[in-house]
Amino acid sequence: MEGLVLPQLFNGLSVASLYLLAALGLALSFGLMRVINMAHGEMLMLGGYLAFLTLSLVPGTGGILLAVPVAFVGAALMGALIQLTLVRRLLARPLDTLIATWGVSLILQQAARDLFGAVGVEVRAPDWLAGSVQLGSMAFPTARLFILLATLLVLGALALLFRTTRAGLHIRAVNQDRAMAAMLGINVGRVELMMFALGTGIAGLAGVMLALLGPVTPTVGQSYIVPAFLVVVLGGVGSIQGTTIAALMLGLVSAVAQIFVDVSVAQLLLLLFVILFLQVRPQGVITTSSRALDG
Amino acid sequence: MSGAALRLEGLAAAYGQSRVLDGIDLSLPSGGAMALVGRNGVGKSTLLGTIMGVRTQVGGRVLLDGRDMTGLSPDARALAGIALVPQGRQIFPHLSVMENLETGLAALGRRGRRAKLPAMLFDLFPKLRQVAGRKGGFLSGGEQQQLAIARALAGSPGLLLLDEPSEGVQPNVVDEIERALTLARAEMGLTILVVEQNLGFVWRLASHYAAMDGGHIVQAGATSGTAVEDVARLVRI
Repeated sequence: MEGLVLPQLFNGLSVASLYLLAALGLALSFGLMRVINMAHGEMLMLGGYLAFLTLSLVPGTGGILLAVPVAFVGAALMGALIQLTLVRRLLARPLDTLIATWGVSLILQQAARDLFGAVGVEVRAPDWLAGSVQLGSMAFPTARLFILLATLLVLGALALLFRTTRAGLHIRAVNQDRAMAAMLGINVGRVELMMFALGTGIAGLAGVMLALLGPVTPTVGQSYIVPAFLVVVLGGVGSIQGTTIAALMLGLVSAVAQIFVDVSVAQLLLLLFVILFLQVRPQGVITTSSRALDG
Repeated sequence: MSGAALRLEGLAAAYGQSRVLDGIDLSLPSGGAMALVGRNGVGKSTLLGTIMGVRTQVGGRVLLDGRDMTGLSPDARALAGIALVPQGRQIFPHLSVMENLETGLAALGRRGRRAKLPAMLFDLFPKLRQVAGRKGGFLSGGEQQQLAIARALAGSPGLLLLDEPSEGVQPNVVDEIERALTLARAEMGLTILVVEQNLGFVWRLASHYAAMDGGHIVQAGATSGTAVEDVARLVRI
């Protein structure tokens, strides 16, 4: 039993990293624009396929380092396209956004099926990512360490963006009071486009990380989108700190549960945990007054 | 930016089908200060909102230094030199005082990206220096009002629109606001249009007044030589 706990905790951390990368974009777009992007899971899928293509063309370490910006930019551009063509036009009609982005999700899944087939594709990761780092009697898979590191870098970059740049200040201002931000001369439309693209770009990064752990399929994003929504709700909508804490909680609960029960029951326990937590603290981990909570 | 001249020609605004402003003609020279007075619900705030572009304009024109603002978004109007301090202040509650002030630099456009806050803001409102690190939501009503005005001034506007700046603010802070606005007007050549119920305060601040009733301007003129009591009687406040 003791030999199981530490590796499972480490697994929990890496699962939490994936949940977090998947959930950050949702938290950003919902917090800022009240938009639930049902095609968010497909941004993970897109990132995964872009990683597959990049590593097919450029194998080895260079490939994986190239795949990260390619997936980020590719998913961010797709996000920008969705924001400009659909989300922006439906801002006043949140339910319609839900349906429209669900449509985009179906189209993207089918497009992936047509292009790459229904069976998953395997990314040829460099050898060092397939190994593990031995620490005493324990082995830590390198791919999971890589994911953890990438997540920390993303969080650090976001913290820098929000706390130290004028663009970050404008994002926080729009988040708190859209109308006042506009009256001060902030181009709210541009801020929202940037945030949506940033959120989908981060989901694209999550896709690269997923591709390191298993095959990329047209529906790979779907299996992460539900936990990602759970993370956003649990974290307190629109809060990055809350989202981070919630992802950690869910990743660890899921991993620890799997020491005692099988995966399906662990998922059930996860849902139960979220329901119970929200009974006690309906506003989530961190309360924030963003536009998403005002109405 | 120095002061900008404001001219309204036949301005009309509506909420849905209901017209709340009609045929508003008004002229305010660069560097002038005008008090807009009237009872609640006569359209004063709507008039300020329409000039800022946050209310639906259904007719007429808003001209700033002769440039037609009609059809421009609020952020474009801010860049053109209009700033509004709304009723209720709309401070960003989770941003610090300094951060709130820095959002005001957005009105400078590209120049604002690297611009520093003008030191003059803290000379006008010394209290803000003491609470610079505090979150906007934790300030008192008076401090928030000073912050809201300073934030609007950070973007160096030509026209400052103020909606009830003395509301819910204790008398000594109202005096400070009056002093700061008078100074800002003198140093920046600022044009001010202020909606206010506190006629004593606004009469000292403004050189001109316009009295509103039922969505129209019913009387306008210079404040000097016009008894506050007569205007108060006219607009029934």
